[in-house]
Amino acid sequence: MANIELLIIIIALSALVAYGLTKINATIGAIFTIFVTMFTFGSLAYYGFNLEMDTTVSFIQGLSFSQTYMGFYFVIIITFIYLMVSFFHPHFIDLYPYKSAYNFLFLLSLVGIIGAFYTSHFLQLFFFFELVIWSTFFLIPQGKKRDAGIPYFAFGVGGSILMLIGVFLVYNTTGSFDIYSGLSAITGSTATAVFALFILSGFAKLGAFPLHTWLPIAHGNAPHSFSPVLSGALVKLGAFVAILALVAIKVSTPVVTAIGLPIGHIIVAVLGSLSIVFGTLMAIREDDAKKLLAYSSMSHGGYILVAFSLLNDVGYSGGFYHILAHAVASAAGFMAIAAVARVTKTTKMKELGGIIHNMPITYLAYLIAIISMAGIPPMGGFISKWLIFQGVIDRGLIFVSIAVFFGSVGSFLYVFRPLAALFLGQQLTEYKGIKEAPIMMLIPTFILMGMNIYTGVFPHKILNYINNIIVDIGGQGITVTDTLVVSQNGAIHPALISMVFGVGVLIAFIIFISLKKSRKVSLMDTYTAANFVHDEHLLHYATDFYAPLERLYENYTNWMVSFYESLAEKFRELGRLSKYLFMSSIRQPILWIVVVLIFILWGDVL
Amino acid sequence: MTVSYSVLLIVLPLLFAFISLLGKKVATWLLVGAVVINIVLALIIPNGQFVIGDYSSIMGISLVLNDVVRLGLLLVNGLLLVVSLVTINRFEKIHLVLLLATASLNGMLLTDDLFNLFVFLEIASIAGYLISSLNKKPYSSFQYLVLGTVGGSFFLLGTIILYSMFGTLNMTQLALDISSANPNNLILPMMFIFIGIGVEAKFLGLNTWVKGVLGHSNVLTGPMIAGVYAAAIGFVFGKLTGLFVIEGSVLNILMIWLIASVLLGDIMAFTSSKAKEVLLYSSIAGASLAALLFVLDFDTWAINLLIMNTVGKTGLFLIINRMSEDLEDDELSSYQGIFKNHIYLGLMFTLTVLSLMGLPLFVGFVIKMNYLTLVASQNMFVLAFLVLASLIEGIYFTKMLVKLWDKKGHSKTIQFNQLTKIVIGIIGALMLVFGIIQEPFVDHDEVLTPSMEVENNG
Repeated sequence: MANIELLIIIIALSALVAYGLTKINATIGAIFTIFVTMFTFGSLAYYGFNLEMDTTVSFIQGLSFSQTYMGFYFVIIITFIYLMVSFFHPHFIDLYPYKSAYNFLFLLSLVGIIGAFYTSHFLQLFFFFELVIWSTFFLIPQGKKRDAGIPYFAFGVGGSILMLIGVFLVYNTTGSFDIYSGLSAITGSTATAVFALFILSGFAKLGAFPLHTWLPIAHGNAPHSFSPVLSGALVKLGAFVAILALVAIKVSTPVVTAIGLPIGHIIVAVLGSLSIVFGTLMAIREDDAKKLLAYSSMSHGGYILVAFSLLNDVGYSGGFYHILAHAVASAAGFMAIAAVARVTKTTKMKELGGIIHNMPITYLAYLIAIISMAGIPPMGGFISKWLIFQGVIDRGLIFVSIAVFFGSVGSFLYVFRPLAALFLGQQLTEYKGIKEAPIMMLIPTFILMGMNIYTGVFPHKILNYINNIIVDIGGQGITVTDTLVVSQNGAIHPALISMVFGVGVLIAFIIFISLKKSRKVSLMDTYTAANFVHDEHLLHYATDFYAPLERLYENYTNWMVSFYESLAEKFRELGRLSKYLFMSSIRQPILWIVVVLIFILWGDVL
Repeated sequence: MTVSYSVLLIVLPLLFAFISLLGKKVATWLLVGAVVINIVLALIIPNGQFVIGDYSSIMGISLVLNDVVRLGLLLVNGLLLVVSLVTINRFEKIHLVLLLATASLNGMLLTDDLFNLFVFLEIASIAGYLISSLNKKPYSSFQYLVLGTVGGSFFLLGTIILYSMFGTLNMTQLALDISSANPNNLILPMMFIFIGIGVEAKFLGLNTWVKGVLGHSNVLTGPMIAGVYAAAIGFVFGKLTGLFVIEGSVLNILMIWLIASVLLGDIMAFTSSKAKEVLLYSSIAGASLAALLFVLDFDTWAINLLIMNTVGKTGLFLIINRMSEDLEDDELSSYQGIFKNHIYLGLMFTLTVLSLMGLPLFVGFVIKMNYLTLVASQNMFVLAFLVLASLIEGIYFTKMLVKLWDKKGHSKTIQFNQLTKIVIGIIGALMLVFGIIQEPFVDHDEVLTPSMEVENNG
């Protein structure tokens, strides 16, 4: 479908059809969502790459569409994640209380996504953002915890209204609701105010520090098949808003000459670094695999913020590439956990173990995903992190670079934990009978594995596309050849690095199969302090995995949550006070009338 | 048919009220008949002014029918029809009061005489006290009575001062005279009148009665007070803001008062754990927001908001009050999962709530974006407070929806009558249809703006 309006209408109508089909048969409805997302992805991929989508509007009066390289980049990544996740639906739909609504809202949120990235009108952007938020809000309570969607809604809408205030500031100054011309036209204090509002909005939607507390609640408790969308796709809406602020607004805050960056951008870089560090530390101590990945998303959101606050082309390249790499890796990670949780009914690592014996392909998908997240070759995360490192070093941001490196090392610590506790280690008896995920779920698993590797080995096509975006936003792009990615400090040869890595793995594999195999012992074949341990769960590898490290900061992990809880409590206190002052007794209106009259009659007050 | 027939909108319900005393068995149908006739009359009577008794326009009582008043009449009588049909045969000995309310509310909307407005306001209030007595919470009705009387007195005082200043009670003439008078001299009567109407309009500080009356309301009293009365009072408030030139310090005072009313109304709803309380505080915020838009002179969108709020709240109160009757509890936690057995009603309830929250695809979003754009062009601080209030509103409504849809809750089934289902279905569908098809708003704006300009400029 070449026309964006028709595409949106078709998806919206398909959402209704999905609702009806699911009422008849949940699995058929779920399979239908696969075809719709496939059709959407196919249409966008076929026409969108060269910006050849038809944007004329014939039916929905008042709407207008336009296309940019950046918009397309976001929309194709997010639609891809939607497509991958939709393959999981037939095997998960029966777990959800409102199956028809699930399929309907899943597709409706896709309408919002496509509309948001194919508009250059601010109010339309707000419209589609809000549509995405409320439609996805109803999906989250279908998971583990009913009220897990409320923080997501509060932060999401809060972010949207901060952006809206900024939009009206732009409109009051320029008289235009056009995103790009409006943002580039504002100057002075207006530019600073809009910058701050958009950044806060981006932080709230991205789940960056200090507006991150909704992430583990929403991602951790969302339906298993929806968490990959939340983490891999929807938080990227926040990245989009933050990029608009960082790149399109000419802020008038003072520039730190030694670094060559405005103070506003440095603050964002520092907050991005804090997101990386806090996200990493929180992920390290998390026992729930999904919450762990949620904190990981927070950390990776920090990388994106750091990248775009650098205001250099290498940083932009790294940032855009990281959006893709993280989307793919995060979706793969969450989907692997979802596949495990489908059969084990838990995501708690201390309740799991040895799943590799039953689900080797899922294990492999997770392994590849975490290698990418940790920024290790030959995966996409390596390319993006390398570019971001280069950008940070070029700017001379010492402390930010420490945080960025810390995040990489830390991410290896936390992603290794599910690997060791969930997939490896001794197999618990209750999971002996479980089977590998069905073929329908393995299809996206293989595709995502392939994407993780492809983005690490052959990044040049994607980086060339990213260069188009960078040229659009006023830069020049970075030098990319078929084999080399070049920065000011040198170049890397991703294919060569991958080959070396592959040879290393091959040698290790040869050694593995040629040496004598280790003897398998049962989990209970052990003694502790000369005593036989009766409960195999006590021997579990995941319990207190990083206890010595966690003890260093365990007293400080709840600060932000406490802060927001206190804030909500203050609102409740204000509500109670208001009820007391205005609603508790009939005497009070008389008091207020007298107060107003005294005020009015007080001579020259008015 | 001439504009003189507009008097029938007041007289017929009164006549029917007397007849209903004679034939109690047909009282229900008299009420429905009166409201239907009112709707037909409101549709066919042409615009114009009718002076009762042929006195000169300054001295005599005149009725004015224009497009805004027509819309008000249709809304009030439409909601009355809904309420009377849904609660048909459920309440006895109240039809006379409802007919009295119909006559007085129509009179409030039609009259162009300030004292006459006071009279209708008093009759409507008396009817309101009697309607609230159906809650069987006499103390709440007593509070309403006391505060309504105090408010009425202030309204009358304001009216007296204006009469002594300008020698007329005709609102069209008064608006002309006021526009050329010294604004400082008008502060006192203006505030008296706004305090007077503020009691019925549920503004902060004057709305203590709301908690008792709506907090214990049933399927008749809830929709009547939060829907029908709120609609009529909202239109009257709009009419009164057209009477005065609101600027300078008075504008600031009214703005702060109404913003506080919106914000604290929403915060109080956020604090509440009872379903009816959430709705009543939300009603306070909604009514204050519409009033704020009238004060800021964004009349068209104030009217649109008023229509959506009153129609929406009528639907919500119908459902919640019906459920609380059966469950004999008003705590939100006791409603947990109630919609799993009422998918259709739950869906319509949800559509209505999403619209009230101002979310996309629903009429509430169209209205919100239009008034926010206007507010932003005038005062960014007001905008910031309004969006904060809308965020708080969003949070408490989402909490409510999550609770009502939670499948882990109990599985009690509530009997809703067919008419309730149809009404709620229509309300939910309207919220969606006008959210997608927005042309009516453009036409609406074109029709209403000239009427409001005439009203504002006298």
